[in-house]
Amino acid sequence: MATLSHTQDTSLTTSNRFELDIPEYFRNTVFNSIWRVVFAILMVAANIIIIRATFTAKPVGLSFFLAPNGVVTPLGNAILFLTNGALLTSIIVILWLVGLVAVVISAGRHHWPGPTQWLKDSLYTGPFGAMVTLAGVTLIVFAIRGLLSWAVFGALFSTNPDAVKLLKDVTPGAIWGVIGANTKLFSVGQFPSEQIWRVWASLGIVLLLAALSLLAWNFSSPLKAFRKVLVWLWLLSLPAILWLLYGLPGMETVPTLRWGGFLLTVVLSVVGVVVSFPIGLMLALGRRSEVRGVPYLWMYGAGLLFIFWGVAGFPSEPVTLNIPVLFRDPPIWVVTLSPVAYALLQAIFIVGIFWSIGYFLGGNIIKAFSVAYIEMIRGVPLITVLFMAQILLPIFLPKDVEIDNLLRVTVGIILFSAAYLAENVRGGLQAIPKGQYEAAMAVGLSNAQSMRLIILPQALRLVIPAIVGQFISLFKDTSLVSIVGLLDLLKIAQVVVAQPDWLGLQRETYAFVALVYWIFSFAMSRTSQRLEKKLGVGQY
Amino acid sequence: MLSDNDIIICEEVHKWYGEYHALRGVSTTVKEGEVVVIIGPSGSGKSTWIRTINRLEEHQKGRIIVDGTELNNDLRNIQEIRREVGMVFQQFNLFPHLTVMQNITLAPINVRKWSRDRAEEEAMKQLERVKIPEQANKYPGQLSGGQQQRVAIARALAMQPKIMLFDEPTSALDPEMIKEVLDAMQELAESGMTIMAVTHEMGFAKNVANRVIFFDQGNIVEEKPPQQFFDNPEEERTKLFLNQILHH
Ligand SMILES: Nc1ncnc2c1ncn2[C@@H]1O[C@H](COP(=O)(O)OP(=O)(O)OP(=O)(O)O)[C@@H](O)[C@H]1O
Ligand SMILES: [Mg+2]
Repeated sequence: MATLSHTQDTSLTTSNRFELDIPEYFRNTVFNSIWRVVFAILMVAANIIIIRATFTAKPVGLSFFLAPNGVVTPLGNAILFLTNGALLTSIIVILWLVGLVAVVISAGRHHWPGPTQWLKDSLYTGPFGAMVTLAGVTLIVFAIRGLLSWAVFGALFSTNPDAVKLLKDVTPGAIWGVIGANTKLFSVGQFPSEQIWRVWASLGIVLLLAALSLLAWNFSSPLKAFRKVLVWLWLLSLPAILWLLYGLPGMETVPTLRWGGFLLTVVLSVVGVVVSFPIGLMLALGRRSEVRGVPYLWMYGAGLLFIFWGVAGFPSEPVTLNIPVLFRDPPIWVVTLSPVAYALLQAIFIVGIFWSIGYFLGGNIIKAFSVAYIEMIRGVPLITVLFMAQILLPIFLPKDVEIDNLLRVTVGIILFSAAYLAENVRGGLQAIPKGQYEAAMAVGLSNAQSMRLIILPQALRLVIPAIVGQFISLFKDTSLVSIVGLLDLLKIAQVVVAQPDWLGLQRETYAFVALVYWIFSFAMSRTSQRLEKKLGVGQY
Repeated sequence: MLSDNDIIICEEVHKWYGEYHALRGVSTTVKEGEVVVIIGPSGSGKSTWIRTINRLEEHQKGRIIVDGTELNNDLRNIQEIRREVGMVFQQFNLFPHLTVMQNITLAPINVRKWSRDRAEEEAMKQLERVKIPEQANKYPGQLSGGQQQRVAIARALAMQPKIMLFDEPTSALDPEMIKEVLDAMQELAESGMTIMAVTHEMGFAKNVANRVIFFDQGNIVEEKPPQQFFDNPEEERTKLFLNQILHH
């Protein structure tokens, strides 16, 4: 009794004259349970359907250049020949059969040259494996064929709207002109053309800093002292760039309304992560705080806030409250409060909330606030936070203060991102053993010093991958701002497909936008992996 | 009874972990330059006690006075005392992200406010004292356990403390590395440092200590010079414990 998969084991016990007993083999692998038989029938049926479909697949359409005026060029002919459905399918099936025969012969001769060994182990692992291989290869080849014919062979690359108008109906593939003609919109939105140099200058600053950083971190010895300076330069570069984009004093301002496209996407995600970092850090430390009672610093902060509120939001006239009351006719209790009483009532209400949270969490109001904030934000989707920032922020601020829409959205993103950052950082903090805190205390470091010098450097190094992951997801999530009226990369795509010249080219436009998101996300994730290795995360 | 050169004074020290009464009225004094070894069964509260002396654990009743300063909730007092009290842990607790040199100079620079040069000079002195000056620029993860523990000793000494606390400094080490750490401790004792050490190394207790304290169930059972302690212990519990560890 010999089967394909048992040949090697049995070789020692059976005679040298080895015979492949095919009925026995199928008895062992297919006909040993009713479910396997059913499964085998389904697999064969699926393969027949796939092969029939691909065999009759229509020939690839050719672009204007490969078939000008309906006359196909030699190159076009070659492509048509190579991508012919019947031909492709025949080749796949023949190759598959050749492989199968090679494997069966090798099994019969009990001799496995390298290639057949590989074929057996990876493509023909039993009858089901062989079936999956056939179906898989066919589907992959035809997917690639379809993609290539749409994106390349059948595509039109002209950015001239008139030419496109003429050739639109005879072009079987993509019309990429929609991207080429709108590169400026995609990259910077409606940023004024004569001010584009500011974007280039910003890019220059970033590239320069990146180059210097590469040098400083790769050739460690002479440039080590320079690293600290670089970190500060990086931190400074963000406000500097934003200011430059907006317009330094004496320059023409570019209102944020006109920032758009990829530029806006990058600005939103970078500012979101950078600014939310210190906030997230404070929240993470706050959540682990063991301080009881309200520290003085917070009292001063709250006091200032109330003063600000009092000055800014004090009602100038008595306020009438309609309080619904049951068992009363009419079921409403009308109370008129003087401005002072109203403000006092608000203050008592807010202090009361804080106090009761604090009370129920053992007086640890810092922790109470951090937990409440983090869990509240994490419990709602980003889009609701964005709406809140749009609608609620103006309510909390004095009436005539108009805030920039971009700023409002950015605040929303920062508030959202901070909660997630806090949880990531907390994970890192929890991974630091208690002994580190104790050793730091035992040598006499203060709490703040041991955090800054001992705990955070280790904890943050541990959470770099998580933070990069968060940045990547924030980078993609910024596409939600299109809902609240900002022209980010995705919204620009919507604008572009509505242009009269390029009406209805959704496929091209969204494929391009997806590709941009993918390229940058992928690049960042690879960079973070390298960074991890370099910083030795997880290995000391 | 109290004299001028009492550097650690414990009076009726109590500590509770929730319901559990971990220290039950510990009273003793340690003189300047004295070497005290604490032994006792596992879970008896030795670590808890030694850690109350630099306030890694808070006591809830009684008084602890270290170098003339009483330990209470005043943060400044605690910081001041921690500057004068060095501690060495069973698990070394070196800072893994810093080199040996940075581990040692961190506190002198940030707490004592020394210049980097002065701190590094002092660090080299202490590394030579524990006989590993050549490891200064390595990271803790690149050292053997015995070397790491000696770095931990040097780190504590670089603050120029008046008192050194050791909590089972050799328990996490392979046998061949125990001696190098004990040698460093013995050299320290001979230089006149005040030492309190929890250890199971009876040789160290016999040869180096001025006094051995037997600790059980959250309190001192018996304390004597080593000679008397090992040769004729008074208490039944001490005898039982000595029997167990010496005849093993
Ligand atoms: N953080 C804590 N919370 C609750 N109980 C604790 C805590 N730390 C220690 N204990 C308890 O206090 C008792 C004394 O612990 P301690 O670590 O001081 O013992 P030990 O004498 O040092 O023992 P060992 O020789 O095993 O180190 C033990 O019963 C322990 O379970
Ligand atoms: Mg212990």
